[in-house]
Amino acid sequence: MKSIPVEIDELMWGIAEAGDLDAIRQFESRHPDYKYELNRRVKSVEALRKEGKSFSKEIPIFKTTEVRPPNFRPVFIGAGAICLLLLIPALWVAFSNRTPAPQPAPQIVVLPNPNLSPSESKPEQTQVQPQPIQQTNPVDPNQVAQNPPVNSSPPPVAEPTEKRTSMKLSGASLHSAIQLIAEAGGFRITIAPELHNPDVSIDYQDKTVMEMLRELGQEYAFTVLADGEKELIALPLKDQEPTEP
Amino acid sequence: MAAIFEQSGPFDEDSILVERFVAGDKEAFETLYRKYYAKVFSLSRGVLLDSDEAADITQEIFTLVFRNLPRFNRSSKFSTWLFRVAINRSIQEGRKRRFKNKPLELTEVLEQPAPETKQEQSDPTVQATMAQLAPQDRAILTLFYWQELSLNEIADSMSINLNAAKTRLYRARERFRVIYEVEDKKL
Repeated sequence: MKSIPVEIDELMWGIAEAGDLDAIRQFESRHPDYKYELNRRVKSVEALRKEGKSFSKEIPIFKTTEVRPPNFRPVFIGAGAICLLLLIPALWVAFSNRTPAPQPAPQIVVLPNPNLSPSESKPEQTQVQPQPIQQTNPVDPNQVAQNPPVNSSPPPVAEPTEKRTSMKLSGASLHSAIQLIAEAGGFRITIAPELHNPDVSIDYQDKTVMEMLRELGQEYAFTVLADGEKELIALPLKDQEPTEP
Repeated sequence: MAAIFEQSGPFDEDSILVERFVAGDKEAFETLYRKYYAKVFSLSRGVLLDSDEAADITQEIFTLVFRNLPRFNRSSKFSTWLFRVAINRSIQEGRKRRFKNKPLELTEVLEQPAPETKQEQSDPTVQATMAQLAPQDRAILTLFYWQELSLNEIADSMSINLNAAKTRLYRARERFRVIYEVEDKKL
């Protein structure tokens, strides 16, 4: 079966859709070979058109009252509340990071040296005067030196060193002995370079770290100051040769 | 006044009704609804091949139009825009149904109540033929043969150009004819 030319096919569809009987007759007389094809198209078009008219539907009432534009207000309020809840902790964290946390005021702990007279332990005789300690501690250094707090309440920094321990060293340098004792109490200690460094022998039994340092300081003329929570400074009490043990 | 309503353009009857609705006149929408309900229902039914589903979708289409009419930009005729919404929604639903529908088991059929007798008398051959066409083909045939829209209007309604509309219509009716003849011989 030979294919139908496009123009003939379009013409047949056009005639079928127009439904004009004269046009159909004219086409059939001109193109008798395509009479059957035209009839097929006419039939399918008629069937389609008839189907389109075969049903009718009553128009139901359109319920416009049910249709409302979406109400976004609760959504906005909810979103705003969530944002606010997230913003408050964020701001709190940001500001708490910006402003430095209040650090505990550096405390001066002067370990008393009963072997020395008050005049000998005046601060002007020491060469190291830690500025932060003086700034944060309202206690007058002269007063402290003149009235060593021998009987005062135990220094706060001594609390972690309440644990009693024993230590025995022989032939060790003073600096390393101080270092070892301090480390045993969990302290970092800075030893003033002008503090002499003789060989020492120690044998402390069941003493706290601070007691050990105090006794050692009494023997070798140095004192230990607290610089912060876990920082100590060992300073010579005066520029002189240590007393012989 | 009738002469004004007859002319197409920015001042046709539909445009005036749209303006009235946007201004707050709900009755104007009722008029549009009554005017176009049958056409939209017919279009939906042609695509979906089910009167009940077509009725539901038609309500949905008018609800969409009711909500979105204030955003209608008037660059085309209201009817073109309405048909575009109707075609898109019906084809979308038709595609969904293609995957959703499964053949019913005999027991299921027996358990179902007897369907109400419909007043309409569909040609089973046409129905069977249409059912084998793609929703897009059904849509273009419906617009052309049932709604009797011009090719230009079909092109606008389907958001395609005129040549594409011609080609689609030509292919759709050829497919319809071939399947129709097969189905016709069966019955």
